[in-house]
Amino acid sequence: MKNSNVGYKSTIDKQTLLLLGIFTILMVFFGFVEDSFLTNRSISSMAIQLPEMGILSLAMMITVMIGGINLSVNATANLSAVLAGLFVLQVVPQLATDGNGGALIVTIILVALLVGVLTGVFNGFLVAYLNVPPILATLASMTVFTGIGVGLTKGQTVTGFPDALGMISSQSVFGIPLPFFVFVGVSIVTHVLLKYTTFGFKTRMLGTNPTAAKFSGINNKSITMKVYVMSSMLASIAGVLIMSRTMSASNAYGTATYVTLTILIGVLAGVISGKGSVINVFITVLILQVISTGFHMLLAGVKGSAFFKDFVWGILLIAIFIINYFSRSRNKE
Amino acid sequence: MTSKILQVKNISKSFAGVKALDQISLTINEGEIVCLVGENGSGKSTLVKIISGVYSPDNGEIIINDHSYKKLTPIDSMREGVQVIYQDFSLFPNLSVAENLVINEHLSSGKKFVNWKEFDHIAAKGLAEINVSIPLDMMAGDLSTADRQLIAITKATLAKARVIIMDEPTTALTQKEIHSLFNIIMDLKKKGISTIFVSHKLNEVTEIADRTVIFRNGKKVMDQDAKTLDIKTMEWYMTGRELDKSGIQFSHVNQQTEPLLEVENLTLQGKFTNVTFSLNPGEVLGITGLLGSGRTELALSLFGETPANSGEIRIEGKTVSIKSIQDAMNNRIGYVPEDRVIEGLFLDQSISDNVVVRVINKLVNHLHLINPQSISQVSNEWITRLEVKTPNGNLPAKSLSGGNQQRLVLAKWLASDPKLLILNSPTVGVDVGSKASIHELIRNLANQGMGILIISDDVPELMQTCNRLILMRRGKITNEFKRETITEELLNKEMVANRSGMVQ
Repeated sequence: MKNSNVGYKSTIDKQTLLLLGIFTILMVFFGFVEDSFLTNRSISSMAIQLPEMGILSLAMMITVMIGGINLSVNATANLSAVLAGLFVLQVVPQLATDGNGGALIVTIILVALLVGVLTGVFNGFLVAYLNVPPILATLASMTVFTGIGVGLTKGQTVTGFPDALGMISSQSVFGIPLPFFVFVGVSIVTHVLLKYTTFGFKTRMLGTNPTAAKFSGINNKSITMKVYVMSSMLASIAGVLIMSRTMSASNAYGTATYVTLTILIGVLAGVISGKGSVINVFITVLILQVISTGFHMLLAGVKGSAFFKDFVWGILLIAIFIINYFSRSRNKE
Repeated sequence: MTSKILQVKNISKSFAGVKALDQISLTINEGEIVCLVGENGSGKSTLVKIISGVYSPDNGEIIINDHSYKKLTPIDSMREGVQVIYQDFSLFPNLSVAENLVINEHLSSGKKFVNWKEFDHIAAKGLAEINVSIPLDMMAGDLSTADRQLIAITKATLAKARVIIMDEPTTALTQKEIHSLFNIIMDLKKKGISTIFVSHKLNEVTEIADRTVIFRNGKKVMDQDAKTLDIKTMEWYMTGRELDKSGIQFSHVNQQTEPLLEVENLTLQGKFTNVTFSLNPGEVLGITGLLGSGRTELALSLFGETPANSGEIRIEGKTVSIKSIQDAMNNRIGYVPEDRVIEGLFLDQSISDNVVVRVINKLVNHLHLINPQSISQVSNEWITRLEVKTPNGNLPAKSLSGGNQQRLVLAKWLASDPKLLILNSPTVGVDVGSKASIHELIRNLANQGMGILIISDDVPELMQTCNRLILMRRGKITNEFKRETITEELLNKEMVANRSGMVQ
């Protein structure tokens, strides 16, 4: 039968299976060798740490999907936290008193998201309208955003928030910390946006071939702008989570390490121009966190154990490259 | 006098159980021009890749310069004097002409330092040998397609080529450039260099070939002196069926209706001036002329990509302003670009996604979420209607052959239900069989009332599709013909007349 077409992308991504396999192997491995690995305490500590990195990785991913990059994700997160923090401490200090917990958190989130929109428009303008290569545009904006934050805080960490701020990080539902649910929620929204909206469809097309996208009537500038705004807003959400976990806001959190990690996660998850899966990014973030926590426990007390984690991340990256190479060449036969 | 340079004997090659080449034997003599003809997938490219050492044959033998090989490496092949000029010419766009010409020799000589004087000297000598002059310091990326091809040919002769294989060399060339290419091939012949000319364009084959070899489904079905072959016979051997052109039903244009498109004094500074014409519904209008005549620029202006500076465009009598591609689309104008790979398709995305990209905004449910079922439905409908040959719409567009990719670009536009369709060189790089069916499709669309503009310099194509023809030269319309009053020969002559005018 000619032209028998099955449904829309019904096959499971091979990369997803590979990542799930790696995740399972790691869980089993650490579960056996380290008794305390599968305890509630260890799992909930992982669940607090990974959402920040996970959301920043989604922020990176969507820009990579249109052939761009956003080096300013971490700077955006920090600037959002700093500005939101300064706003509640200095502009509306009455909120920073106990008993206004709900209003405080809502205000912080709104200010952070506003900062996300503005920084996103800034990046999007540079990339879409001034045609600055994304790597240069966001390198510049990274410096600008950090500079603004340092200028406003004089390089100091912003502290003195009421305990209510810590609620986001300290609350648990069914024993799982709230930030993890925030990560799951953000991931679902991003997944739906990319896969089931015309915005996501056009994002994939633009990433695959910008010239054909233009000739197909896609407004490349507008899509690029939206992608950078969305990227910055995701970064701002990560900023709020960091703020809540550390009870402070500073320009010095994460910095270059976080940015390179988000790129690493994107590569491991197989994100390229025109293609990217939120599910793969999600699993990859879990894998990196498991490796990090697992080796930390295993090598507790051993000198240089922190470096071992980086080493294993690197090995994993190379292993995935090798597996992908062989599965690709087999497909070609 | 004729000595054999290259012989292949009983070569077979299978890919995943499919025979791409079946017991092929072929001899190339010194200074001979052999045209290799066949539809897409007939095995031409596979043979070229075996001769150049990219693929190794399953069995058979290759003899070059009396050296016998069971299989060749690309290095062996080049050392024996086989040079392939691929469609992309394999040049370094960011290097100068001289650097491009000398780089291979420089690398293989193992020299560690660069002698720029020597570079220029060798490059200039190489260009002089085939009688072309191109500034040595220009970046290869800034050259026209024709000049880049000349650089690639010079590179081959500098590498002491004895056999040059040209893969579809005329695809992106204008008539004038094709002629100068043919002169160069004749010069190479005089120097004893053989050419294997791979082409779809049969009129060119009859012009240049000493001998014509035709492939069909991996078998050699014809190998004879080109003088005794006419186009009709070649088509028969290529397709295994007769392509009937005599019974073409041209669309009937109702002259009484209001014109679909009226263009008045349209001008784009430096590209075209005071272009005026009109197009009725159901009419196919051809716009032809040499490269640089402004034909492509005119099409792009009508599509809003490079808006015109002045003049008026009316659609169904209403003046419209087309300042962007979105404007053009709102007026239901579609544009099938010249370069389907770069401008037309999303090769890594699925065939279905390529079909629906224009109409995706309509395929959403009440929550504004994409409905995957609507996507499958719309894409399957168009895949079937345009006979895009694929087992599955979820496969990436790059899995399709050239002719089917072109149908896919058409499907993408037809799905958006345009009133006016602009086709820029709709059958470039498409095999004869697909070409005929695309032409039929164009006439059918016109019969259903669509207005169609075809930008092309393929004279037989224009003759088989258009009701009316406009000839452009240096940005102006110089002539208009009705199909009934012009023949292929006459139109060719008109274009030649223009060409001699260009020289002054």
